[in-house]
Amino acid sequence: MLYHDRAMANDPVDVLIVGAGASGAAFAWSLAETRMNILCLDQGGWMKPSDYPSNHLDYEVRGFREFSSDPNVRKLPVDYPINAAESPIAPLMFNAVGGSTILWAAHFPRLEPDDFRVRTSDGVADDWPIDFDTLAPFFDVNDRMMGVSGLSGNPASPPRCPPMPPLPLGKVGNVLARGFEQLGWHWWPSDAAIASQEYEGRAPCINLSPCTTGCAQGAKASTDITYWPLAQRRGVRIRTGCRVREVTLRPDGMADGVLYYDADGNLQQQKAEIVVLACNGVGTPRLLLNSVSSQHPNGLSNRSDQVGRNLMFHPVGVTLGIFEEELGHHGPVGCCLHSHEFYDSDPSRGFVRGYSFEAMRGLGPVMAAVMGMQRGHVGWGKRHHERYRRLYNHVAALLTITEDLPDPDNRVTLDPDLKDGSGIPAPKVTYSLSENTRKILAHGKDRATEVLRAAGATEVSAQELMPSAGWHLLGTARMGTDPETSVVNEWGRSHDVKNLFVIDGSVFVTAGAVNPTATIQAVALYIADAIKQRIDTLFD
Amino acid sequence: MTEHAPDPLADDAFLEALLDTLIPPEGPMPGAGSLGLSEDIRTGVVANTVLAAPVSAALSALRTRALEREPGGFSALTQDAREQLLSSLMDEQPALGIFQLFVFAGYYHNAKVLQALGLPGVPPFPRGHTIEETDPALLSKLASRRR
Repeated sequence: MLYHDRAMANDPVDVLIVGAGASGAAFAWSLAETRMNILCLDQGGWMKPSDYPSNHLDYEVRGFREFSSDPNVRKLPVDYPINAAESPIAPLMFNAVGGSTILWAAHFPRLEPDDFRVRTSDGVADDWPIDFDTLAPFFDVNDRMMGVSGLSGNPASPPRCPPMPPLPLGKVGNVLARGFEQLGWHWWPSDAAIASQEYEGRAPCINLSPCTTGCAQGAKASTDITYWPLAQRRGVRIRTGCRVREVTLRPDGMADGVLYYDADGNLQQQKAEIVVLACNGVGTPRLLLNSVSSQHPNGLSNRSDQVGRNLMFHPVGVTLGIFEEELGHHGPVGCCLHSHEFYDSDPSRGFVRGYSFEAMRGLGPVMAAVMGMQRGHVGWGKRHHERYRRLYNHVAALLTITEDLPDPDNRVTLDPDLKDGSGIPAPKVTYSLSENTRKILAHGKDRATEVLRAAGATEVSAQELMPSAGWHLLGTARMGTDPETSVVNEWGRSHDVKNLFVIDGSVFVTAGAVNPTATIQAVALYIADAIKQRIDTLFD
Repeated sequence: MTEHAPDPLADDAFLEALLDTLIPPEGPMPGAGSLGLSEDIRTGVVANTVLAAPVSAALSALRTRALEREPGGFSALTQDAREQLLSSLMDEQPALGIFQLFVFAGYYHNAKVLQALGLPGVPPFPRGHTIEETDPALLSKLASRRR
């Protein structure tokens, strides 16, 4: 095939995207209308829905192994290890076409307008160089492209019109909603990138339950089934099994492509006029820091020493309620309802910024046993069944998603010893919780307990910080107008290398207190649009 | 294999007795030892390069302690005596707790167990599940708050 031959030949391309996940896919689709020659490299491959765990009886167990969100647990050949020994939160991701959208819960809130002006509102962190209104049209395009189910009219957020009606709350959601109602606190059905009805060739959700191990039904939006088929139809090519080692430079300091290892382990060079990084908040700084040259001895685009700094995770607390009534456990796991009752700053609480609540479905049979054991609810021996029956199908949980403020000491660096299967230095994550975050988590735990009690829980237990909750990797190549304090400008272009762009969650200036994917993709679409608008003066 | 095999993970009699001690039969729920889980659990433990050694050592300690009490070994003890012995070793051998996780995970995806819990005992796909619709009374309240 011509495409195949062209791709294998490493002929120069106009635009080279590294990473085929949430942002890379959206960006590629948008830029494809320019008819430029666009190639995307990804270290993973295409997923087959028939391989997803929900095709098997041991679907929950597979989520602890080869479909774990933690690359250090999964240890697949396409994964790279991460030294997270100095972080209480494990960084999570998935490496495939579709990236972490393969395993995400598809909860699809947007950052709120005030999240873009934290310095102005609260005197901490920094304001973004762009605002909510700038992203608004791209949010809407992205909702249509990903296929979002939700209920318009949420009084806590700007107007939004999801293209599909909301997913049903299920028993868990109905019960928890009554708790919020009793307290008079805000709640709303969650926006979810899951089809509640047939949508653009996607079948509707049938409540397989394990959204976080891939959707065999194809109801959940992952970019391998949303953006990528359309981008490919527009001529964008994806080359899989390619692990990028470094971005290379021309003598004049402009990027000229990348060096990568192909699926057979051979070192290859791919030339490009524009290089775009979409490797997530750990992978992107890792690649920049690995791109050392005489011109950039501390890593590419790192003149400001900001690459890898300001890592934000959204630390998560989980509060579990046990109810007398049966609640079940089926339905999309993280997409039931949410609350922004405590989202905004309130000085009387003793911390700045805030958090959101997200309701979770109950626990499947294996999770009920494992989590029950870890929390002391389920033991072994003669009383095992009695205690298990009390938990299984009787649990509802609230997650406290906190706003994590940027801290330059929370960072991604290169581990001096650890390497991936291609010998490329692996990332090291150094992270500690701030006092502000601890206060938010404590507040969230107490309020979650109130909701669960109001909803009828007879027993409540809390884990103030979930260790395996580093789904959101943000802030490590942040955008800004000042090259001394930021890595890319207000439309994603490197301050130091004018044909190098970063389009993933790395560019976030602050994190908000919601799942970031809708915003990550809106930012990627916005940057693609900025490139299209400036195509004649792009490198000035 | 007997309870005197050198590797406790290869000792089926010991493993089945231990599994039944951790999750004994009760009503419709089968005991973990009667489901033929030993092979899967053995494979799972051995495949885990970090946990295999401590789990194997903990099981050896349990089996040795049982043989000191009863020449027939762990499987010859009564359920009460097994529970007592296991309890006395839990603090000393924390890897027994890890082994317990392997057993719980193996037990709760077994088709017979799932059926006993009232589930169909088949993979979620392609049947899926039905969940309750949103309470109309709640939707009415939201309608009045829409912006």
